[in-house]
Amino acid sequence: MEVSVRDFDATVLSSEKPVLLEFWASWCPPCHTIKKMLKIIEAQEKEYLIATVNADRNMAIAQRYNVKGLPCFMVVKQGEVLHREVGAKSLKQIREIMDQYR
Amino acid sequence: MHNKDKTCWNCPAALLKGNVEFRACGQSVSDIRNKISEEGLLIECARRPELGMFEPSITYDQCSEWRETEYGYLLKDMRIMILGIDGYLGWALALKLAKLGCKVSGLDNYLRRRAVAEKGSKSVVPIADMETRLKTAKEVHGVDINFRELDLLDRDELGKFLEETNPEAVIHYGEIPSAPYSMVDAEHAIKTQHNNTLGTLGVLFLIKEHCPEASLIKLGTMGEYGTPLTGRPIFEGLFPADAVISWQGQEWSMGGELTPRDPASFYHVSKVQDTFNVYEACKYWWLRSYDIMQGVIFGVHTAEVSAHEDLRTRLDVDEWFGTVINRFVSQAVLGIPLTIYGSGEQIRGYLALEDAMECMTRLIASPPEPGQYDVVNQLSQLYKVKELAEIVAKIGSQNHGLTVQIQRVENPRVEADEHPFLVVSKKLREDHGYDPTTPLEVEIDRMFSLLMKPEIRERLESIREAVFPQTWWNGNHKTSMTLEVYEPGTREIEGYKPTLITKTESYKTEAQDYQPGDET
Repeated sequence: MEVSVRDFDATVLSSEKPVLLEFWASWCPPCHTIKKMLKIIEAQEKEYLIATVNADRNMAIAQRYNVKGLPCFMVVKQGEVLHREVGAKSLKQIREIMDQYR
Repeated sequence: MHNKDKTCWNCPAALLKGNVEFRACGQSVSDIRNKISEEGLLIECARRPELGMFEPSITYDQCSEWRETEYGYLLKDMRIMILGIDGYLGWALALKLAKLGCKVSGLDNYLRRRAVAEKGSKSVVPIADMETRLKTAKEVHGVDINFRELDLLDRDELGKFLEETNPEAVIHYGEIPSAPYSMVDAEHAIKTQHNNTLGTLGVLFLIKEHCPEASLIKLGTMGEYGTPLTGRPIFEGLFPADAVISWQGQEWSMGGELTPRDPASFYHVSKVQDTFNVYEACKYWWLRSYDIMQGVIFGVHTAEVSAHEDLRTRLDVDEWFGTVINRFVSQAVLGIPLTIYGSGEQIRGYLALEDAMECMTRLIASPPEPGQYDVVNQLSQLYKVKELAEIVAKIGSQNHGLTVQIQRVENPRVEADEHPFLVVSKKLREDHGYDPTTPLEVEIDRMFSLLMKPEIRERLESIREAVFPQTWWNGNHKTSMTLEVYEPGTREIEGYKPTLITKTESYKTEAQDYQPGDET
């Protein structure tokens, strides 16, 4: 799901499930391809909340998490950042990141 | 409607205000971190200034400026600039969009008319001069098209035209579209690359200056990709995220990187260079663009051009500007055995004129996001050249009483005669609601009906010599020798089978639990 400054705290930080968070931008071609893949994962995933944030439209969040490069992936659990990585990821690599924190 | 949930974020009327210091943010948001407010990004609407500043979240189906059409929600009275409006595609698109209620402007310097004349040829379908075209468009369709005779390399005048018309979409058909033309000699190669590459570069700067929110719909070609002999998929310009490169036991996602290009002539090289220039302009300046990798277009019909003989679009059948199906139909009418280059096993993507116009309209209706560079492979089906010759021969003989033979001639081009071809063309179908509407056989039959008219047949006879290949990629200028002549229906289609992937569920992957068919 796409989240913004308005609902970030309520959805991401208050989530019971761990959150796979991706920061993206419209000028970033890898981000678009990753978002398409995340939609497929989201449709199948029961244990994780998948959340995407447009970094340009929600700069306050990007700043809070010190996002400097895109796409930027994080695993957030009860508000705590357990993992972060920058750059396009394959399906296998995203699965591996998620599996570490199940 | 497929695009009803799109919002102001994609709308060219949305002027980005508020936190917009990051327009040239490149690959990092770090430079603008001191300028961040707690607010999200705000816009002003160029069409509804009374709304003030607001978040770009009004959906098309909620906004009074968007209206439903058969091609998706379309901006009301959308202002559109067509570069190369006098051409085969430009004129047909101008009429279609104007008829849909768009405010169409366009320019042309008639380069195509001159280049075809230089070959000693002419459009076999007689076309009216621009003045007559515009007058007839008004009389028949009730539309006003704002035309200016202009070379797109004339940046001062083009800048003025863009400033006056303030387009919300720019359709770039203003290029020399011929591989053989670019291979004639140094003069023609340089002219092609100068006009195409530098013309497009200038257009990018002018869009940035005068109408940065406009979407640029830029015509590329499937020929940019070439025919990769590895047999790997020809993706839609950019690798998907689940395409990986593995090396020395590690893997990397290729997601979002431009796929390799392997152009097949100096003309195709100009298109590849355009791709890079457009890609960069989107990244640097937040321009937005669809780069259209279009298959080979054929045909003569759209509802608008067929409405009056003075509205017809051109049809070239000479070796420079005549694409293969258009050439085959004219050869069948002339009684020349259809000329297959080499083995005829070459596979290409094809699209009827009418379908191409529909695809363009759908893309214009759904602009990319700010800064988004995207690529679509625009084609309806894949065919082998040999197979097309059979189909044209069959329709010509069965429906029009012609005796048609096929000949293999020496291939003047440097290209793989036989090659695998696995093409992905999903975006138009999955994201833009396109479903091919014009079967190949129907359009070929329409072409025969038009070209068999006595006055057009007479024109065809007068340019008979221009149809045969004479321009060789090695620099020679000589008529290709005939290797053999055969009767239709006597040859097997051999070699590689083409594969077209149009839906996500037809895509198989090695990942065990990855079921793309689940995508909704």
